[in-house]
Amino acid sequence: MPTREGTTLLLVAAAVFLLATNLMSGLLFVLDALLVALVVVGAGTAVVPVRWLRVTRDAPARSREGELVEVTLTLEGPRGGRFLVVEDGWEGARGRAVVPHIERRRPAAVVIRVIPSRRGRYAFGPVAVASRGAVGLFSARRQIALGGQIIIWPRTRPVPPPALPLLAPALDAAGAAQRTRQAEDLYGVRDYQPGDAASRIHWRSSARRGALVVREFERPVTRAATVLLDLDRRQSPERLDAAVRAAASVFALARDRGLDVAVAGWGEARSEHRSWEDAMDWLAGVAPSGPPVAEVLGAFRGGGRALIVVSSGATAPRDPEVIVITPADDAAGTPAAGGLVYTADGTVQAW
Amino acid sequence: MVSWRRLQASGTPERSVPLRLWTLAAVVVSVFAVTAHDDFLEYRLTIPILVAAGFAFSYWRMGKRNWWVKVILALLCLQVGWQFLRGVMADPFHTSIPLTILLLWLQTLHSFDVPARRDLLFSLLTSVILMAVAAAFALDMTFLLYLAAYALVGVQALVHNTWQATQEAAQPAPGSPSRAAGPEQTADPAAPALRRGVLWTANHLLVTVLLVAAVVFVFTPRFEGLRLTALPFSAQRMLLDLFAGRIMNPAYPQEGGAEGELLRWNPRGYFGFGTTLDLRLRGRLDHTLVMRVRATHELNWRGLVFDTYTGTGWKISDPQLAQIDGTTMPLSIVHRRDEVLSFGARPTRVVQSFYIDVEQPNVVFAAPIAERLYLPSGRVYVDRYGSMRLPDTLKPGIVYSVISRVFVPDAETLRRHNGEPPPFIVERYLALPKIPSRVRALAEEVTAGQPTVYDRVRAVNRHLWTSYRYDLNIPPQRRRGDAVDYFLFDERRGYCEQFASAMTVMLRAVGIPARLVTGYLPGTLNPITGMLEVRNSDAHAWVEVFFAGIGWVEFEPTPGFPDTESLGGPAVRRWVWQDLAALVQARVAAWAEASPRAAQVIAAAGRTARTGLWVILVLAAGALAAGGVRRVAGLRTDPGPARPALDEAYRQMCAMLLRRGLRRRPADTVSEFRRRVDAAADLPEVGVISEAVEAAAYGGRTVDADDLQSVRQALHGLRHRLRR
Repeated sequence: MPTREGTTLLLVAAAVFLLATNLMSGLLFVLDALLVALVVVGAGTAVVPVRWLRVTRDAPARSREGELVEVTLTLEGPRGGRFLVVEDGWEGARGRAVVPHIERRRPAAVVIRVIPSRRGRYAFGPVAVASRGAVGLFSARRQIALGGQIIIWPRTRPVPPPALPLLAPALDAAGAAQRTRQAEDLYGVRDYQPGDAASRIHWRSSARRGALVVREFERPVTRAATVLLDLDRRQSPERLDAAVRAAASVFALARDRGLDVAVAGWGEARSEHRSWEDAMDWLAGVAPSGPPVAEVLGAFRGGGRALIVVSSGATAPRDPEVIVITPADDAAGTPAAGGLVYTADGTVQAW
Repeated sequence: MVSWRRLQASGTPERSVPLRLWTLAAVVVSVFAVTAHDDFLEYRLTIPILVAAGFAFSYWRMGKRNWWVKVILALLCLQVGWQFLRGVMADPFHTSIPLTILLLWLQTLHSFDVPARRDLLFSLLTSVILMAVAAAFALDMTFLLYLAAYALVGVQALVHNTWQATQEAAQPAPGSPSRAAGPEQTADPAAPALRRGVLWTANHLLVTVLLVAAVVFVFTPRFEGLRLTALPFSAQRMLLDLFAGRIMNPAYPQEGGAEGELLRWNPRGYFGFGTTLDLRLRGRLDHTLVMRVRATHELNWRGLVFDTYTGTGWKISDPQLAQIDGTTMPLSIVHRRDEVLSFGARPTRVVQSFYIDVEQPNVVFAAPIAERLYLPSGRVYVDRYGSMRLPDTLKPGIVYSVISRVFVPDAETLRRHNGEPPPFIVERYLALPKIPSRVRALAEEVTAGQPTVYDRVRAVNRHLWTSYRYDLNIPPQRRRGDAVDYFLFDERRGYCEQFASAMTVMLRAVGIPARLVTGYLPGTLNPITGMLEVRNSDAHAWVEVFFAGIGWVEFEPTPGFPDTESLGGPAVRRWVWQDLAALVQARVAAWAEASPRAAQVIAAAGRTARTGLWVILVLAAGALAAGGVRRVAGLRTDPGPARPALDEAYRQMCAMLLRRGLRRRPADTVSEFRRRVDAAADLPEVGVISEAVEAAAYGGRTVDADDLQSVRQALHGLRHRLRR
């Protein structure tokens, strides 16, 4: 399509042609030919590179809200090209880059940097390539679908020190376990395994069983917590986003402290994830689709796991055995002084 | 309120200095192109200086509040608009001149307020209009120099403008989701690719644009024009009223001396533009360009008509002139009885504009019969033969236009008009002095048995074409006596004046009214300017024969000159390539005619070219056939568009392996290197890439997008594996 400048030049060329014809001026025909040639070359330099451009994409499979994502596009065309604008990304996070020059049949790499603002599982949109040619008289645009997807994890924020004591009930179990480990109390016996010290063999039990057993002085890791995310379907996606960020932040804190931590929720069904990637992938894609957290709290109790509930709704449970984190800006659910709240960016802090 | 805001708004400031400089250069070149014309010479320096100052001022004031600048510029625009209206009212026939001056001033004033890119684009657009104005005023090829310079700077300005626009396009719109997502990536302005991308692109593009423009020009159709315009005539060079009743020929100022006195030959002017034409004069005219003609049709430009043969030459016997005055253009010409009869046939409207380069006699050259004149004079004189005199000689720079009604009848039409001419024609145009009887006998012998007037005329025509030779090197007449008799029976060669005189006298001898006319041949078409270039050596004499019911019809008596029946076609052909081909053909023919050796060379070149053409055709057919066979047989070696990318991937692979201490020795083949790598490490990706390269390089396989994709994936995997 001719650009505004191209359309104007075509109109001027048409007027010059009429004038040249009426005046029978050969030099006006020469000028007219120059104007037409500019438009023709402008169209060629706009359409040809875009039409035959081949694009390949190299992008990470995962990233995080607020972190720079670099998408490398390799462009190659049989005719080269100039002044290309390349756009790529996914819904809500598309970036552009300018490619001044592509030599014919030589691949050129361009990096598009975007900072995703929202967690989610996204399919890459088509790569859009646009050009106004070398002289800006024609514009050509093409969309090239390459497929591919990216998972944007929620942003995590460090929990500031004033809020840590409020999480102590969940972290205490960890402290107790530590002390137990240091005291080296007898915990039990187990089968002998190559490498076990001979001094640890419990001869009496070995004799009774007919096989070697050794004493264990440390209890297996008992530090455990579950970060329960309220997936109440009545909350807005934006409020859930903030809750997800808070849950991810607490999950990261607990994991850093060595807890056996899981992140869980009840959407369409009960979900619980313990590994870092699983948990973050789940948090990236979670949607408000379940009952209020108070109704499903019982399903997550027990098992020796501390329970931390992150809830954006007014139905947050008032349970002294459960640590509840609610939004800082939610008047209806304002916690009592001494409670934990989270801000929109997922920062968990003391109220 | 809105207006006040608009007054203060200046758009986003454009800070690209190269873009500003190239735009300024384009504007200045266009101003120089316009002011090359005589009517605008006084602006040649002032306007470019003011434009440059305006661009500098605008750059200095960029981003500041400039409402007072806009107010001053608006007032100045009103002032130049008023000047334009005054100019138009003072001379309504030359509106193009005040209009051009208005354009120049508006361009100048606009230069003081070009803060944004769109303002620079507007300047570029108006410079295109100025170039169009310059082209309309230009008469010669000098304009092409301005156009070449303009193309150079204009393309640079457009490319820089596109680069700026592209960078703007890469910026996210305010409030768009992607802006919320983060900053955008644009190329590093200092990158070498960018420097190549803008400057190199513009230079490279210029060559392409000029080549495409040449092709477009050659294949641009040209239709008949000069229909919707007031015809041009010079505005500033007026003719002075110095007319003293005679023809003033600058080449022969002594004309009018004693009868029988032989004039001294002047190669810079034609002796036939006077009240007499002496057939005893000898000499060659030079090739000086004397005038350019822009015309709808290609015709002879008649100047004077001679009715009386004196035995040694011709003279205009009726000195009476009718004076035609007018205060507005055009002047309508009223012809007298001898010419009016010509209006019985359906004529063609022929429009001609004459641009004088070398001073010419005070004669209006035009295709007969002139009807309307656009002159730099309010007065013209017309004789009984339809010839027109001006009050003063035609000085260089004078422009005048004529609309004529021309009738070029075909042979059948002329054969049908075989009636008796009226007595006043017979009385004047059959008169002959006492001529040798053998002239009359020859005329009767040549025309014997011809049934019609036209056939008799053609018989004389053919006789002269076939029995006599056109020669500009004839010696002076060696004996006294009748000049026509001497030409026909003694010299048998001569100038166009001898041929025209002989034909006129022979026709009169057999009772056909005829007269000798002088003027200029149509000239040579310049395919670029579209103008007929008339030279001194194009001065010519030919014959007009009277046909009852039609009037005076031109005939060409001189061999080697185009027959008048072939004239009357469009002055410019529909396609430029036709005119170019005709020009080349004419030049080659003239060269061949000038030298026998040249003729041999041209003939040999023609044979070689024909043979060469056949050889090229056979080779091309062979190559096509071979290509087809290879394609069918699957033998094509087209590496495919992805091959360079494959090689690049292999190079990257080698570089990665080198960083891990696996160096490919120069003597290593692809397979050898792969085996060495396999022995040293478990890297299956190397096998994938090596196999693809081998298949493409030695297996004759075309590399397609799928191959390339798998190679890229392997390269990607290898990179990750080596990082671990």
